[in-house]
Amino acid sequence: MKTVMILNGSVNAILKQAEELNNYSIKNFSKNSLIEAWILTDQDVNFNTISFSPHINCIKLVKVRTKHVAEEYIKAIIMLYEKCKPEIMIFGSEAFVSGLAVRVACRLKGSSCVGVKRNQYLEKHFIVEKMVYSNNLTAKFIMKNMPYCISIAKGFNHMTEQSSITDDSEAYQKLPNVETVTFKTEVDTEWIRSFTFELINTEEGLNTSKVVVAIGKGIGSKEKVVLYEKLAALMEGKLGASRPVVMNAWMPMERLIGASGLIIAPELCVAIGVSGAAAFTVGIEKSKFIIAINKDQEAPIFKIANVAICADCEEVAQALINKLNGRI
Amino acid sequence: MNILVCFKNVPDLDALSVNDWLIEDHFQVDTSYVRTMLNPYDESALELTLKLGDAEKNDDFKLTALTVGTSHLDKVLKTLYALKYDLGVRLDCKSDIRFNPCFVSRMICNYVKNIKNHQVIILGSQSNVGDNAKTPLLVAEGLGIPCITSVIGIKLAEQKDCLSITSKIDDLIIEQIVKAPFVLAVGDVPTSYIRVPTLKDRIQYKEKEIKVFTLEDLEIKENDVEEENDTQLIELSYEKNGRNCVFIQGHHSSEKANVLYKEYLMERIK
Amino acid sequence: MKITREQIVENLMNIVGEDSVITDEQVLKTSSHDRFRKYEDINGVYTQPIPAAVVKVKSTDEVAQVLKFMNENQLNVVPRTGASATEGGLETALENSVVVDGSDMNKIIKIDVYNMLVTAQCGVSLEVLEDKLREQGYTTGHSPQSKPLAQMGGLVATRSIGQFSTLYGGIEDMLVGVEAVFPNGNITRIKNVPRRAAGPDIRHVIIGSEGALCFITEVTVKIFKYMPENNLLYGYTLDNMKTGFEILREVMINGYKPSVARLYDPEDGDYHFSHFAEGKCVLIFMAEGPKAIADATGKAIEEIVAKYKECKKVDEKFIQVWFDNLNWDPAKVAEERVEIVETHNLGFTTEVSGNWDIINEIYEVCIERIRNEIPDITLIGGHSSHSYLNGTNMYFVYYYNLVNIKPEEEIDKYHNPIQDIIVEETIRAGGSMCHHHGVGKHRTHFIQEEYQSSYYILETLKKSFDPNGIMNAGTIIPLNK
Repeated sequence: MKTVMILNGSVNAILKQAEELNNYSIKNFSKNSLIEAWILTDQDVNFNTISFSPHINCIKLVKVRTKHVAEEYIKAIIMLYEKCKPEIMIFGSEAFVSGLAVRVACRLKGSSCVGVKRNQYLEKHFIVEKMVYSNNLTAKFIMKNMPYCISIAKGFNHMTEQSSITDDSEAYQKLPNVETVTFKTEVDTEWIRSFTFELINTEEGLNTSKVVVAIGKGIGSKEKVVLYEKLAALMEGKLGASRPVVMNAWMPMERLIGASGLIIAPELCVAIGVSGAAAFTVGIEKSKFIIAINKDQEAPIFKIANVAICADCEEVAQALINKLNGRI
Repeated sequence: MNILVCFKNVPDLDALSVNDWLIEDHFQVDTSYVRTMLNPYDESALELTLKLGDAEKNDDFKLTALTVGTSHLDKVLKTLYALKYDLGVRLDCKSDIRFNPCFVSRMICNYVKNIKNHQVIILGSQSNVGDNAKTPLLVAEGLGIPCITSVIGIKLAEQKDCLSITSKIDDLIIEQIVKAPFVLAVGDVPTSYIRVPTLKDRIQYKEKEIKVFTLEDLEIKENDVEEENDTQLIELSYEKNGRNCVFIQGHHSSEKANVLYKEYLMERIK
Repeated sequence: MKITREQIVENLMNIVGEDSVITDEQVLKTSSHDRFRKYEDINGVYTQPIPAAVVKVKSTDEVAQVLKFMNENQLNVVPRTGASATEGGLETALENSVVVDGSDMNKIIKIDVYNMLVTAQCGVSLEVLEDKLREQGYTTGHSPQSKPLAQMGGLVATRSIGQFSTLYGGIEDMLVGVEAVFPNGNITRIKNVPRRAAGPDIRHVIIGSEGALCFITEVTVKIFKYMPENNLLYGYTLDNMKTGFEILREVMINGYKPSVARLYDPEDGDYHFSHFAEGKCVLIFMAEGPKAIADATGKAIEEIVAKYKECKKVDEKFIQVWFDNLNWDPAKVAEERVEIVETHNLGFTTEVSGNWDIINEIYEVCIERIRNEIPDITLIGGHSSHSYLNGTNMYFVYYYNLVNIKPEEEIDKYHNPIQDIIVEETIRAGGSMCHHHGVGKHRTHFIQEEYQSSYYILETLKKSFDPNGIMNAGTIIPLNK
């Protein structure tokens, strides 16, 4: 089936979009499938910085006038659609582009689905799978009408279990053919009287950091904190602490994770010397992956961890620091 | 200015335990045992709009709250009356519309087209049962008006019939002054709780009438419910996804640390 | 000559070591109050005198030395363990107070399944202890809403009670022996025996003393066999609280011991029950224990309730889901903080008790007066959750919108006036002004009315055990201003 993926080149996050769409296509399409990439953008795109999965055989580049007017993007996509008539259109996970999927499908009398984890073609039906009921249940839907416009679920850019990406790294070297398509928009933007843009300050704090090391009273004393600061820094993460640690004044109050402090959801949380009282775990349980290090075999923190080491915290931390130093 | 806020009341799914996730006939999940609450995105939308009302002194500024469902929802609409919403509307519907945003948006569109026009229509981006994330977009398409997604702020603007809207696209924050009509899909607003009405106000508005419209009033046929849908649910399943802690074995701490580094840590950090 | 702040810290460091004396500004501020001042805390406003130090004690001997030093220098001590207090008991009311924190004394000393006893240091978390016991098939039977936070010393000091009290009793029914240190440094141990008639029961000097007489260092409580498989849950809707009180009374006076016996009014129940009991009162029972007893209790409850036509049985599942989500866990505490900041809506509770003949009157009068007299109320309701042969408790729950006030004005404008109404009306009717949170520091102006002629005993206790008034000044007995 003729498939395209659609990227918004007007934002800096195009690299992230490309990565998530690559991972999605690797997971959902056979090696021989060919997919076109359509990039809609109001600015120049540096293709050398973007990696495209081996599926991508052709890139179509369309210049639009605005960064943020969905109606213009929809028109541009429909123009391309009329030229190529793809059957499957895949959009990224971000709300602006997933909104395009829904509205394009509506105008083309196709079907749309937001947050798709997987798709398959079975007995002439295009079937998609997504999480519903707040991530508690998995639902499968038949998409009734072509074109099938789907936006993918969040998190494909952090796919770690896939090794095929690195195996095929050579395929990434070749840049597919880029074709620039001209598009004359007649979209009315009269309703927008004025606008300003501002880039979100992405300076990382404890609550936005992708990696967090959280220490508990089990580290022993205030003097040991510096060791864990070093460990966090080597992983480009931030250091947080449980309530007993800040109440002992080993670390300042604003580093407090848990019920009376920050509720964090990093990609990786390393909890060291934390017993795992509920007041603390509520602060980290949304983390994607939790590593727990504690000397006490029965510490409740192990119940919410993915991986655990039962050993002396300082020894483990020191060994990890050595390893991390060694890799540079 | 005439503003319509559409909201949904949803079950508190966090209160369900692992054993409560039973899929029954017609892909039903019995959530009647848990309390219901405002869908969080809708709650933000309702509160953002109330704040707009706090700032606006003009008498032409009217707030309507609309929901789709059975008479159980009248209680919520009355609470909104107590918070000074001018009109509470319920589109009466008993059908299974969990995964049918096409139908829901058609009802809303028909209400706006046939019964009462609104310049600004505000909805939450998504709700917790269907997780469809389509209704606001389809309402905009149905009415043929623009839609701004991931809205995080709404303020009054000086120009006539205009509002100042803050929204997000990836790491970009956009602030624009836009002229009605338009649809707003409210996203992750930093403050998400709706204010609480006083007991006095609740008692005062207890008897105020809720406007109820049937499918017939909306010129929609019962049969259209499934017809309208662009997807069809064919499977619903539950997998318990707790963390299964793997203990790393080894003779001493540094050996365990090595395993941890090689097998788990390396790939998760830069 | 009065000792300086620096000298206090130095002396304490000499006793317990430098690492165990905390003088970090923010920790001291946070240690100057408890959840009674949660609104001030959320806003980072601290109105109480900031303590000179927080001392983390590690042994009974250290406690003795610290108290002795404080006593000799006439300095105020605020004992603390889990810090989940709600009534101002942890407020440092005087300048240069020292918070003596026992949370590091957290060893479970002995689980004795033969004699059905468990001995734990004051800093053992109830949840940790309970989880450990349950793994072995036992339970303390103690389950207050503060279970995820509270620790054993504080639970005894505040005369706490749990959700299963109607069967297991309050902490006073569970405590067997106890070790405590008095201000002069005296270490006292009360031994573990099943019962004795060797004079007054001196455990009652310690239970409920709220840190105003002594520092509790170790407790021994009963344990029970844990048989959750026999639990039976019952829920009913009804129209009137008065009927509910009648049913509770009938169950109790006929000698049945459900573990849970609760009655909610529609306002208080609205949040949890409105999806199945809109505008109704809700009555809940749980029977537990050995199967034959649980079954018989359950059957009797059903028979008694059946006599009241007003009651409609609800599916057990509704009650089970409610019960599973009942505890005030850390996630709720976190959520509450955000909610208060965003909505400026704040809620508290006040708990009182009374005999059967007055409890409904207390309930009705208090609700009526608060509705009429207090501004900006968004919710006023209540429930009965602990019943006895002679009467029951009433747990008032109230929320209000904070209108045009500074954080430090909240207590005077709303919280205290509401609490005063409840206490006034309860005492007037002949009930008790405190059922299970303790007196703390904000109901002390009623203490003489509460005790009347028996205040003599209370006052004498305080004078003889704490002649210098250094133990948690302003708690139970008001400060002399």
